[in-house]
Amino acid sequence: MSDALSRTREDFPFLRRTIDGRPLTYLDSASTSPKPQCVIDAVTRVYLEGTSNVHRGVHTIADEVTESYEEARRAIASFINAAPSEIVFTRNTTEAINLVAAGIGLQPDDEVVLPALEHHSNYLPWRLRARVTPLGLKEDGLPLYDDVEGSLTPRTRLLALAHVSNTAGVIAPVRLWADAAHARGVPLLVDASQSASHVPLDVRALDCDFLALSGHKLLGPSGIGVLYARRERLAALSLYQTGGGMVRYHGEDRFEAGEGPQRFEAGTPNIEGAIGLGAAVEWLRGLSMTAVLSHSQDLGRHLVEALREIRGVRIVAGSAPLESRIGLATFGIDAPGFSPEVIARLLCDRYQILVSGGYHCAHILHHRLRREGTLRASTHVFNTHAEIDRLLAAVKEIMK
Amino acid sequence: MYTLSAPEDTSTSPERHAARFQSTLDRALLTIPFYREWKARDPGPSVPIAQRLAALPVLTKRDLRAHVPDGFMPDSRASAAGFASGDIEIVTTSGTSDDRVSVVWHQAWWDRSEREAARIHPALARLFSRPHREAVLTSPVCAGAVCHVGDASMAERTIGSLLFLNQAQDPTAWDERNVRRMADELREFGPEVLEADPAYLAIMARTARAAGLSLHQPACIVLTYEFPSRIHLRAIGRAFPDVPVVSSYGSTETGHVFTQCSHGTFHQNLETSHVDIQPFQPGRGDPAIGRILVSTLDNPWFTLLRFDVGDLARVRGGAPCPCGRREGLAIAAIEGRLRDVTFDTEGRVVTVKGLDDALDRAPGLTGYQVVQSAPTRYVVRFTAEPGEEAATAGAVQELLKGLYGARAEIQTLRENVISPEQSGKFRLSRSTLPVRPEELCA
Repeated sequence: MSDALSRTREDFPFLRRTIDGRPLTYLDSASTSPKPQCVIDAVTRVYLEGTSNVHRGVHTIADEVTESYEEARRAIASFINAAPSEIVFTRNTTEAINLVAAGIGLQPDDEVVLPALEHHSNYLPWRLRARVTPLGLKEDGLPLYDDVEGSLTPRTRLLALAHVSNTAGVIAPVRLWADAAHARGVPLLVDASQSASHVPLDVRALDCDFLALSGHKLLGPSGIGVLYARRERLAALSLYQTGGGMVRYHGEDRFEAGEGPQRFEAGTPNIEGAIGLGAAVEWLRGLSMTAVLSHSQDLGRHLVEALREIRGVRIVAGSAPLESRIGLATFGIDAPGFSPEVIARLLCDRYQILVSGGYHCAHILHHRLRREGTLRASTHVFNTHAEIDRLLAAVKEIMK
Repeated sequence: MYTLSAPEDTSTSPERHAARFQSTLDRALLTIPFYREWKARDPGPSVPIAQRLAALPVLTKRDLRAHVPDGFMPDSRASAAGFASGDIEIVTTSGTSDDRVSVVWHQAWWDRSEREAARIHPALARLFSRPHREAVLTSPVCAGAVCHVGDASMAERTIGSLLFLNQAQDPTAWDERNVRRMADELREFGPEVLEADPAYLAIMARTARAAGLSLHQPACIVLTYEFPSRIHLRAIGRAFPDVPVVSSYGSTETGHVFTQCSHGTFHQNLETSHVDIQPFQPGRGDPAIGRILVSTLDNPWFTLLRFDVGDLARVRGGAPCPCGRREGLAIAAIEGRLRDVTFDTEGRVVTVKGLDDALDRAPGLTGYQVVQSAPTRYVVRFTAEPGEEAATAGAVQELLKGLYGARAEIQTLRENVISPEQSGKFRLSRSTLPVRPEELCA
């Protein structure tokens, strides 16, 4: 076991903070990630030196900040092998998916196929507008991804799945789903919230039509997200919001929306958020995403193998092959009287270990598993094997 | 470009040029507010002109930003009347972000500079001796065609004998439909001259080729607006195999300064400009290369002296150009923008052209952008022909190590596309290290 990326810890000021005078162990990056110094600097620089609006100003600072904002778009496009003109800035993954759900003309009788354990953000926007066909799960919650073909009907209008589920921590077979979708002429949307900071992303190789991600899980600021839409899909989406910045003609008779992604970016955008996210992906890419994935899989393997050894621990999608997992494990503990929330609180208060406890915005999954919540430990580039050991020791102690 | 007049006095003897420049200099120092402070540094008309010039400061874009318009207009001119009559107006350059400046624009002088520059290349000289049609392909920012009236029709984009083809900010987002529309308009309009940003024309050429579209063949292509990469030139050459391609160098501030002759040498337009090349300091770069300082001649409304355009040129050495032109400065190559230079691991300047020449040998390379992030670290974003990505990346690594030095750490990132900056221009290279012209050039 190596901690090849542990040197990156120095770049995260947040990891130097303590709770009750003791250093913390942060294993909650699936919820939100700490920010490296370069992201903090990029955001701060906007406030200190770049106070201007984008795409509107006609002065030097406006030119500079517009260039930085668009440079961030180029960096993000490059990060996922898209074209900048295919990148729309949104508030987060949720808004990105809602933008698609609202823009493809769904009718109440249309069907959207997705795994049953999807996060609310990739479930409710479809449910609001169409019928959802949730794919089956194995007993431990692992989606039956291979059954996708059998779930499609003539009414299927779109397929949606998380590249890496926020509960299962398993890399989904996106290409299989893309092929199934495209054989029917329908688009595939990929929720990359969890995968973006663990797995090299290539929208061309995935062959997806839409891809959504959030900045705050990707070492970037909160309130900034991204929708990738294949060029022709983006052109076909109907307008989601209207307002300033997205229109190129507005007269008494009509209005004409602008071209490319800006037609979906009405109003003043989250400028500093986008620039911060640009800095985040550049930083992450500088580590090499192949190395990042390898580190994540190492930690995931360590975590799952050790959890399997603890009696009374049940891992969500525990039957998934280890090589398909990232550094994330969701697990239930058979400890009567101790809810997942209570255990998470204990881990924080007694051991300064921060994890998630609850439903993780995946109520359907927990309903099917008949569990009142679970714990989730999730890693990032800065985590070490020693921190995994600390968590495992704490869980064992609590279970005693 | 579309206004014709009888040729001006074409006597371009060095003596005549020196006398005209001396008179411009004397008048500017006496009558133009901004240059009054320079007067104290002027050794006076008894000193050779080159020595006088060397004693004067360099005019920068920062100076323009601070003093346009009144600082550069002669006292005696009734500028209000000039603006009211439409003789002059204030325009803003497209630049790249922090280089944007406003200038006093005098259309008649601009037209003259263009006409005179056209005389340098025989194909252009022929075309500009009579009325002709011209199409422009560049960013709508550069073409001044950014409008707030939505999509403009071909008729709305045609001004006299000039057609503006492009309406999109990002040519990498053009699809086949856009290119087909432009190809159709070219065929219908039938321009004799196609003036283009080389990056835009290369994208158009590649897209048209992939879609099997044939493009109208003009009598001449003029490349301007930004540095033409060899990659661009190859793509353009394939789409327009028998059309002469001429590079023209100038700027909104200076008018047309250099035009390539049929032998590829850039010759100076002596009628409306005087040019000095301030070479690199010893040890900082190739001494045959320097920054271009332009003084404008005969512009009654806006006189620039020793203006640093922000670009580099390599002075032509050795035998005179075979085209026979002897007068004025001869430039072997425009080397790109000074702010886009990178540095090798020993701190010596690598110009955009130096980089472009080196990468020309990378097989399958279709586009690139190099960013130097530290004295020995370089990130190369590149696009390549399908299936050749790995070989291209390997070749780029090797070629750049040869260029920057064995200690260079080079990271290659394959891209789907490389998009332009907000100005609409593609930057082939840049460095995060400070680039200070006054320290690099002497």
